[in-house]
Amino acid sequence: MINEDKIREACASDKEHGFKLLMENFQQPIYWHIRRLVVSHEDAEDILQEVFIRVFRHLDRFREESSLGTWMYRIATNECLRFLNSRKEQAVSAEEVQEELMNKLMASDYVDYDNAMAVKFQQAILSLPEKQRIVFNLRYYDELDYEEISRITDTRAETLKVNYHYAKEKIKEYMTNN
Amino acid sequence: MEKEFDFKNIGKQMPYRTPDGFFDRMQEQVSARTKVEKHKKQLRMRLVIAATLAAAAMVLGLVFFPAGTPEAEQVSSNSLLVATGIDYSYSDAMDNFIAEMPDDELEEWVELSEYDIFMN
Repeated sequence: MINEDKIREACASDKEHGFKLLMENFQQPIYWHIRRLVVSHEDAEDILQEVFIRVFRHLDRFREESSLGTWMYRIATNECLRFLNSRKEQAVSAEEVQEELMNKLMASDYVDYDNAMAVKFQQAILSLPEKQRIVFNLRYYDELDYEEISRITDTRAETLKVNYHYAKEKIKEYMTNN
Repeated sequence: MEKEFDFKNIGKQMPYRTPDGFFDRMQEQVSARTKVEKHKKQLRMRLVIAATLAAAAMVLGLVFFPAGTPEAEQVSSNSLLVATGIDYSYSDAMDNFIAEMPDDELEEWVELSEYDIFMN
């Protein structure tokens, strides 16, 4: 689906054209990644726009040792964490932030409540600690390998495997008992 | 006994939706913002160049046309820059002024500058 070399070449010869290609290829997966982390469509929209503006600003300085996709997921994940941490800075605890996200899930114009199983599944994911949630989403939905997730989150691949295993167990338990 | 949850039953289903045409609009919005970013950069460059040229012109003017002031004649040749009393922090001040300007004001300025015959 994504030919990163083609995007890199386009960026080198014509930044605007290259950036347009990059947006066409990445905006949907990056949006869904952000949405799963911050839940609200409106927040995800703002963060996505910020991510692409950052990418545009730093496109010239992008280091080629990492893949474009990994780089973008890293920027997006950092933006989400910054957004969630800004709530914690307002003297709101991690549990309260989690509760806020649950509330957003249950009161949104852009959630399909007819799909009760999918809503419950998202509730199960939101009940996970932040780090496990990020790892679970990147592995389960985006199908990134542990090495890529390791570069995105600055965490050792072995630790990520353990995180993913725990996350799956907790989700299973939530889905069975609730 | 409760039946254990199987991930295969849910797959990658998500309940999340987006407004119609959201991704097309997003591309347009980001593209509009990147154009403003580009203009900002160009405007900054133009202002820095203009400020530098203006400062250089003032220095040259004072060096070559000292206006016959007695002080100018008394100045020793190796202390010209100090003796002219010019504030060389002018271009730095202009940089700081632009850097500190709020984004929305700067955007407005960029838009105005597009119709400014002296800048285009």
